[in-house]
Amino acid sequence: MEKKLFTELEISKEVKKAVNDLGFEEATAIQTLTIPLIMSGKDVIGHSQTGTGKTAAFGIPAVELVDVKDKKNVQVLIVCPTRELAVQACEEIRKFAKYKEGVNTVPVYGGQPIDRQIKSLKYGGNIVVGTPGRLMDLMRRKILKLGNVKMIVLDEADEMLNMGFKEDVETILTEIPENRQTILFSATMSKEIMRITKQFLTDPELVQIAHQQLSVPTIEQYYFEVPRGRKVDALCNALDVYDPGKAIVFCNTKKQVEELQSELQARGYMAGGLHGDMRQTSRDQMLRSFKAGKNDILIATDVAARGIDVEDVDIVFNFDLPQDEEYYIHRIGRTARAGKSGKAYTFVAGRNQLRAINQLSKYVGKKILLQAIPSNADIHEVRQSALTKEISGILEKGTDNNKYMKIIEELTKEDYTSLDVALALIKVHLKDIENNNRLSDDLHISYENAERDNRDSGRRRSDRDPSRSDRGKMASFKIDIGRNDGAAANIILSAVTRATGLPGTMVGRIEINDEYSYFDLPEAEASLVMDKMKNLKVRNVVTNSEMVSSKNSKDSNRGRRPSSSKPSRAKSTGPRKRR
Amino acid sequence: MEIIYRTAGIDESYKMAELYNEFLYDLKDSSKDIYFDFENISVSDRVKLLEDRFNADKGMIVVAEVNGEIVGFISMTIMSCFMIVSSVKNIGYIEAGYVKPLYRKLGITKKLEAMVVEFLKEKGIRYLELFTLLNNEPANESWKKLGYSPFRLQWRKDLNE
Repeated sequence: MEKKLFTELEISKEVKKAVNDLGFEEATAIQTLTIPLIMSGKDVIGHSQTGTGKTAAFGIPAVELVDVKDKKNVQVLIVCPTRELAVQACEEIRKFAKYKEGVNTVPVYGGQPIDRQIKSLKYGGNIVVGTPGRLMDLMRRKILKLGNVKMIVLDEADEMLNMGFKEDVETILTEIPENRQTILFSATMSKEIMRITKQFLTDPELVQIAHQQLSVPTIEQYYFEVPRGRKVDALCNALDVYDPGKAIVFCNTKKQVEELQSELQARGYMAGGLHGDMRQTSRDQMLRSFKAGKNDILIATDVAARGIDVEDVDIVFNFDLPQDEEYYIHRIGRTARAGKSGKAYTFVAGRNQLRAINQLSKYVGKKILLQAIPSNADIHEVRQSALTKEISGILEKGTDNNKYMKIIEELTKEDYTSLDVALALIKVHLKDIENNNRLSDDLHISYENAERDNRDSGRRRSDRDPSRSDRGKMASFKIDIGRNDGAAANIILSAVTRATGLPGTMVGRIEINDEYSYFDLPEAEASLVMDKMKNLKVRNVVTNSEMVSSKNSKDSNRGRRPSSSKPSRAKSTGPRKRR
Repeated sequence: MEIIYRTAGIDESYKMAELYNEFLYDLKDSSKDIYFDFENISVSDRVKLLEDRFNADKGMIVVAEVNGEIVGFISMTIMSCFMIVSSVKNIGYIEAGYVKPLYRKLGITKKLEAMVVEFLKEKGIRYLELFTLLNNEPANESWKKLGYSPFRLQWRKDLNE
């Protein structure tokens, strides 16, 4: 479909400026269609998945709709199924309202003291974003008065019904004046959703983003789970180990392109940026130099990368998760051109993004596999093998080496053998990576997850980490939640780490049975487990854990590294030279 | 949020009549059954009908109050058992139980019902009865949870069909 630039949309200059600050150029499909409809006052049903930029689709009109002179009354109410979504939507809306003085967005959700939220509501919020339960609570307390609400947005309505908020949502809808505008977003259009739209929406327009199914069979798709703030480090490690001849790194905003460009350049990579604010001549120049291989890394926004045709891109990195599923297809389609194969890696930070990856998987009809971020050891290995190759090459040629003989002679004079000298030289050569320990072992969890996720059953974690051998005796703990209650290895792992505060790497084998599950931890942590996992709520089940046996660490040490963590050697031409 | 549970007094008969009518409208909307349809109901008529409920020998109305607003009630009347010759004689009959949508799922009905039960026990009355519609699953579930079970079926035939 025809997408519009934000500058082409009929929105205020304040919001345009804020959008520009955020670095967005083009509105996504859902934004292009929905924003004008909502701005015209229509009720809208948005049938779209997450990760399509729908927060802006309702957030921008919400900001525009607010009468900034009325600071006291709630004018827009946004209802989200989860706390995370509410916080995220609120943060985004605040960004759009950056230059609109008088727009005050207040998030309200459970799990935080209600007093604080009451205080901020009393201070005045004309846009309120919240979860159903907390909204109801505030309405009962007469803190949240909805008599002046002009627009209500139900975000991820299907999710809210799935979570049992049906009655709450209906109650909230009935508490709002009937002449309001109602916007409903839902990924599915179940009978129940249709009933709600029939009952509560007036003559709504349906906006449906058709799925553009493109086949991407020759592209291997992976994602990295990266802790927030560590994406650049992870990217550098991946670049070093995978050593692509050409790679495109996609970012969502111009600002991010610029930041990443200077960051990579500072670290010695030949990286160039491409975005819509650059002059055409600079763009052409950049592209030429990428094609010619002068820059082997191109960092680009979606819009800028459109239409560029470079045949031998080995890897596409989605540094930012694409805003739109279609973008994902376009992005990864930059590799594996002309019948070649290619790889795509997407950086994922946080739970919401994990959800989005799952949806993308469904959208492309192919599993996007979790991949371990290449470690420093991997880089070291790659460099070592390249150095070996280089040295052998020089030795084979055997010419013109005599001029270096003087150095050797000098050194051997001082009682060093030539072997000592060779060792020292290799150390000098490989040292920088050891000194430059960018990714420490806190990312190790990714390896474990990678293996767990990619294994067929996904239910058993084997004890494989050699580093566990020094943790002493491991013990088995039984927790009274099983498959029948929806337990899975990742759920147990997160429950254990959340409750005890121990890192995931300490958790050994996890076994899920119908009624019970088992997990291994060092025996020394038994009292911590007893203490912290008493009456622990896991998937809405109150659970208890007990130690059932102890064993020697040796037994639990059938060490094996996940194969996925090995660097790809398919076209190893040696290490990337820092230039 | 503080919820106060108490018995309603005769001075609140208009307020209670209004809320009672709200309950009837809710019944009308949710039952989707012509049997429970009505044109208009007047508050003053309802006031008259409720008169007996403020007489402790004949019934009671218990209410839940939040910030001075009555958000839920149960209206109970003491009447003879449907089988006149039965040795049971008088029973308590919940003719209306209603909680405003915003205040549901807070356990209000449970508290109100307990007050009614206590009141009847003191009077030596053994049974407390009520009717719900078969298709009203949420109501059926919640009365079941409070220890009620169905003991007779009321049948009807639509003679117009």
